Amino acid sequence: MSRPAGSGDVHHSATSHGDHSIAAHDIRNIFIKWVMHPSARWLPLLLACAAVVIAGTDWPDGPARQYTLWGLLTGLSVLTAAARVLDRSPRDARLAGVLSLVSVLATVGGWLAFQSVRTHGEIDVTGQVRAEGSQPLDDAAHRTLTLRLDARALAEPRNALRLTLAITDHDPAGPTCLPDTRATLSLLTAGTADRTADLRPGGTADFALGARTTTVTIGVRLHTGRGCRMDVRTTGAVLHDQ
Amino acid sequence: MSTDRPASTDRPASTARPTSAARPLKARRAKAFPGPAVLALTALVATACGSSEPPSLFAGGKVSVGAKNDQPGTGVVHTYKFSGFDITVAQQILKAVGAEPDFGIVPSEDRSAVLTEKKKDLVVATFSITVDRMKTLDFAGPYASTYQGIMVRKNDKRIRKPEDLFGKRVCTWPGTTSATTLEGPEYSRIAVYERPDASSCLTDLKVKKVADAVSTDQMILYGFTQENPDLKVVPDITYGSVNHYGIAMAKGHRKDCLRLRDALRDYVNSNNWSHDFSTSLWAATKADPTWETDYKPRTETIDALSCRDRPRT
Repeated sequence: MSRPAGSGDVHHSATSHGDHSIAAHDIRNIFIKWVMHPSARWLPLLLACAAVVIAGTDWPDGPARQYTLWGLLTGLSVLTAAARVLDRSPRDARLAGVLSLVSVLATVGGWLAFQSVRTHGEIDVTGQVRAEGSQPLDDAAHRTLTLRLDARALAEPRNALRLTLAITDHDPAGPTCLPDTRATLSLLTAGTADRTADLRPGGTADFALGARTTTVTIGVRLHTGRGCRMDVRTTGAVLHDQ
Repeated sequence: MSTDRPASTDRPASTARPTSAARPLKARRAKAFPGPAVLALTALVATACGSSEPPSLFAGGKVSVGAKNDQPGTGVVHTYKFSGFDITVAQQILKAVGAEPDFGIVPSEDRSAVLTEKKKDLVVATFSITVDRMKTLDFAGPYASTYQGIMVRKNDKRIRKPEDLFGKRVCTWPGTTSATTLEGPEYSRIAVYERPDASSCLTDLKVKKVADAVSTDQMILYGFTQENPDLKVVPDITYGSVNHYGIAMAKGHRKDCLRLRDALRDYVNSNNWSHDFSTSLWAATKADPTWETDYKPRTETIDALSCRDRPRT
């Protein structure tokens, strides 16, 4: 098959052999006609912008890095769509076709990436962790702190929770106990496997949650030196899929 | 005591030039391009931009060290001569980095200021490492660890356990973590009061008898009992968490700090630490059979607290 040289001869340049070739030829011509139509050059851009607007209204938050693929694909779709719009009278139908095709595919890819983040992406619930129990904590009194996440925080189903705790000296003007301080975290939620994790100050623990977990309860027990009094604070709580 | 900083030893070398008559034509042309001057300038700029660390504190061989003068066993002056465990530690560590200390007296409340105002290079004066102090000072340490305790008159049988101090007058002095610890609400039933320094508290306890007890770190208290046999440390009463004593310096000398840390690590892991401790603080080793475990720092603690802006966890 010969290739179309420009917009003027695209409908008549192909040589056909047999029924299949005629059908392929017709489809190709229809596609080229559509691609080269003056009003069609706006469609990829409209599609890309519509995807961005819908994503914006349905934005699930969470760490920015999980939107990298969506951002790259959306950028690509908008750029190629814009290039197609700016190319008002393309001399080569192939270039217009490639730009439109890449833009549409990138839009679809970006949309799928966005949906993947919505369904499986990380959700920051740091502000929704409730701490129960009096502070400061010490080692001798065997007092514990309880961290809870309620049903509202767990509205989006995820099967794991990543928790980061800051542990600091209650009195920063007094002797520091940080090098000798650790915390044991115990997942106390019904329906999940019993799990404990040892944490250094500023450390992170990952807990597997049940599929239908509606509340999460975690007990914090401090191990520190004699006479040490420490404050415990949640600095990060992220729901995610393992 | 000297507070002068050693002058930098890095000086650009003077460049010898051949006489004009002896110079060939090419060389004369080269003279038009001030190569050595440009190179020297480049080197100077590169040095200024590339390194913000001032000259080493140890470059001059003499290091001004702030120490206590009124704490027998840790830092004391007798007939113009400094002695005590702080003094021995400073001498040993500085010897390991090729320097020697020039001691000067520093009151407890001035220990931070003499460093930040560059009046002293180091402070080795039972200076506790705290998170707040680590923000403004660098520490190499700990070289010793101790709990805060209580010292009473030897014939006073009333005070044996923490509750016995309720309603009693306990003397401390400002600028120490000991004073801060007893300010906590859990000690509100103890009548804590401050005097300007340790000597005043000792006078209140021994002579005037207006104090029932003196509270500071047990290591320091045992030092006092060495020169005051009529006083005793109550071993079962401690307050707060363990104090870690460090060698303090102003920020901006991280390389020097790391050299001190390495020397300290070697010192603590050698027999010298135990020998020097038992020589300076024999009362503590006599009263406490587990003194090595109680007062000797662990290497991990030295690594966690030395030369950092906050403790490593």
